[in-house]
Amino acid sequence: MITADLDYNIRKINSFILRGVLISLLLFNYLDSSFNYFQPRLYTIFIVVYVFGMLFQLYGLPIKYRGIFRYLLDISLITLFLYEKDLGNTLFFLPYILLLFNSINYSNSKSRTLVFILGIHLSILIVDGFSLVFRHQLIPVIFYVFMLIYYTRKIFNQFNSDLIKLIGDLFAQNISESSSYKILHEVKKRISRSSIGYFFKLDQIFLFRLINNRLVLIKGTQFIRELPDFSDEIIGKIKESKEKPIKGASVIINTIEYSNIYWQRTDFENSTYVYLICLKPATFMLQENIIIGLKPVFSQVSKVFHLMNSLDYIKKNSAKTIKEKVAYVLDAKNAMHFVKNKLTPITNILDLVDRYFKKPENLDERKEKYIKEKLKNNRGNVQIKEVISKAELMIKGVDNLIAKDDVKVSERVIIDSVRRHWFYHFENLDDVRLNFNKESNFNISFNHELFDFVFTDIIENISKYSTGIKMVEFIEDSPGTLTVLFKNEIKDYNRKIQELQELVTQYNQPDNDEIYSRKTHGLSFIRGLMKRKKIKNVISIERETKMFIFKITFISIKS
Amino acid sequence: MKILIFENQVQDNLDVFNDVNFLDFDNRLRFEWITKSQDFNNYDALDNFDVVFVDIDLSTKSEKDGYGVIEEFLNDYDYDRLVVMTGHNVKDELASRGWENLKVLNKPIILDELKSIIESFEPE
Repeated sequence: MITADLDYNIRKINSFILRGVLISLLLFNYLDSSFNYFQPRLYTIFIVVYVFGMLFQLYGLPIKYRGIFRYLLDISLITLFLYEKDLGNTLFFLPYILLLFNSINYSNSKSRTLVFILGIHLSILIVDGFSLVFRHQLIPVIFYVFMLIYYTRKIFNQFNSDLIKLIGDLFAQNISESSSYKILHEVKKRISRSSIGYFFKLDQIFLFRLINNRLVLIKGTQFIRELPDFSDEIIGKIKESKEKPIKGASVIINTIEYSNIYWQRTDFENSTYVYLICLKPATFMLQENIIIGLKPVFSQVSKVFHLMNSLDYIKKNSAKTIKEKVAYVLDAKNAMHFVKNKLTPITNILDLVDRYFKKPENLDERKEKYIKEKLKNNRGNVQIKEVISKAELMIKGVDNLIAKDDVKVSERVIIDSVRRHWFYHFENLDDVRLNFNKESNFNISFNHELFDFVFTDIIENISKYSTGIKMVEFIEDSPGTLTVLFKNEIKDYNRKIQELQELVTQYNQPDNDEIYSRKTHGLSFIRGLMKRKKIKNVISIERETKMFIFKITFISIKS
Repeated sequence: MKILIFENQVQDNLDVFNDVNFLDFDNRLRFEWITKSQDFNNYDALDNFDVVFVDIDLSTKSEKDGYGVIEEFLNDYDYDRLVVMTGHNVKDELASRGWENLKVLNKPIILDELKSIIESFEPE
């Protein structure tokens, strides 16, 4: 059952119970009261009509009319039962309070709330014969105030929730620098158009990030040509502030003076975001309270800009990496071209040697002498050296392909990375097992890009060759270490064991890089990557279980 | 035979052309080397050349690369006695330009290949 269905059913049961209580309460009032305006049988008819009315709305009315119809039935029944009774007796107010309890069932919009309050007040006035006795009005007035506070809060929550959803949608749709300004504009527009806008005359909003005691502008509802100098005093106050907004002195932005301003701080992931909220001078009521009420919206906007900034950082880093790789490829291409050009004199010398010794028909004495002279003066050895020095650029290979920046991460990041690759290939995470109980202060220096290569290669191979059991295990071999075991059951074990044993021996041999790289490209590549980062890794074969095991050990660094 | 060669790395290729000239054509070949596209402007005398070798990568100071030179020769002057000289794999690029029939001399240049290409353009 989905949440919406559950909520609807709870409301239905709630409504049913309350109607039962309402009828019981009204009957108690009828029996307890010495005065009842109508004849006894009429009260019975009222209840019968009420019950039929309830059944009719349940089975005969479209769902959108049911709430208001039930409300009219409730208020009519209460009015008829209490008609001309003494409202000085607080017991007679209980049915209205019951309506209040049940109000949540038909109070989703502002217009219905108004109908709800007016209906109750009208009922009280009718019951009271429009006598306007102060004592009798006191309870409805309290009722009004209570309802006003309740619905103001409800409107606020609804408004915040709508706005937060809108911000999320805007983020998803306009995740680009050019359109991110729309978020603050939309927030301003929605606040101004809502009922909050009657009290809260918003002029401009500016969002800053507090970095090293300076406010750095992120976005604003207005473009700022020249950023004003904000005093150390206000920055100090912002740093000390927690929940409440700070009333600020006037500020001049783009030659316009904003005198009614507030500063509101929100924090997200160790970053402090600060809103400068400029209100129109006419705004004078509940300013601080409304800003506090809107804080969830401001927090959400901060998160969105924080995430945008993070994504931007990732994009820039990716672009940088791609640029480096492209530069390498272009360099390699140029080097190759250079090599091919420089090889022409060398191949020419070899061609001359060839002709000299094979002596084709047209090689007369004069031509032989020509070749001899050419060979005497050749500079082939120098040119070969030039070729080799240029070609070394390509030999550098993977150094240029992997970004140099490592980051400090917890074991969770490594596990998530393995899980991501595993899920991509096998669409389950059941075989990624965590068999350790590690404290959270485990940190390793990790290169995401490098381990994307390593994990992809290992898991791709498991996916390619696996027909039996396969799994990844995270274990703690010794304190301060995290060991990842990639296990894959060897298919056709007896036939392959010798070949695999040789592969294991070669892989685990420490001083054979140059030879090994010529034999097995994939494994030598990832071994080379991990060797550069000094990460211990070995392959083994577990004879009992016939498992091929790739073991990588991460060692925690001091934080 | 008169041969026009668009090539920026003249020193690396001079020997092979001179050698083929002496050993296989008894010095009957006359070469004219051009390193930058803009250095050649004697289009009226173009028909005097029996073959034109065009390297794809010309000098960095050249206005056009080898493709630009070939385009001009083929389209503006209807001259098709051309040989593409290159260290790159240009097969796809030539095909995409509709020049798949052009002869290609790959680098490093082999003496016999050069000889055979020149012979194919020799007047009967």
